[in-house]
Amino acid sequence: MRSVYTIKLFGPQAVRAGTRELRIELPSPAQAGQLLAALGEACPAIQPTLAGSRIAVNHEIAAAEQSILDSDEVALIGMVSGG
Amino acid sequence: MSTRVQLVDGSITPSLPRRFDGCGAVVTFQGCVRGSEQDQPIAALLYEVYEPMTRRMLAQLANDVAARFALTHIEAIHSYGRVNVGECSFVLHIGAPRRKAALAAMDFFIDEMKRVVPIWKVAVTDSGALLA
Repeated sequence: MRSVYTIKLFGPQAVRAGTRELRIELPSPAQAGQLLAALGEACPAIQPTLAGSRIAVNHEIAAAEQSILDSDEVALIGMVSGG
Repeated sequence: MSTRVQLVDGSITPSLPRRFDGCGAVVTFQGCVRGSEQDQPIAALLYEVYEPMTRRMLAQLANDVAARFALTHIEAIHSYGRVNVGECSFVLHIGAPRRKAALAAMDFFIDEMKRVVPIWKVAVTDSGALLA
């Protein structure tokens, strides 16, 4: 079974991608690490920025092996630059 | 030990910290928007946060730093939205019994915030172009 995952983007990554959301279709349930890799393939503009990026699931940083449910809120946390 | 974090829409009006009783040292840092990014002149920075994750992680960082450096007070205020060149986008007040801990905590907090807290900034040029 496959699911479409919606990933929120912020800041420079959203600007580079030209969107605040990317939708990625993967076999379900996908793991956070798989989703991160798929993001780079789906959006080459942000690929160079992903090495230091993490996936957040329901507002918590997810381990690479964490499974993502269809109902989860997913965000890409990268290129943070507070202060 | 008291900790406080705030997220403010737009620029921050810098002010002296509230009275921090029991401190021999009170230090304040103000982060202001410079006039250039990536060697280009800019008009402003656009800050983004991801609530409630940003607030939670900022508060956790404040608690962790306060414990690590045995602080008596820590207060972090960060902007979201547009902050123009010359305006203040971040304020950090720290109170500690002694100077060295206060100064070390200040540096550590800012380094960690820049590394892990989900706050983003995008520069805007005078023509409205976004630099990413």
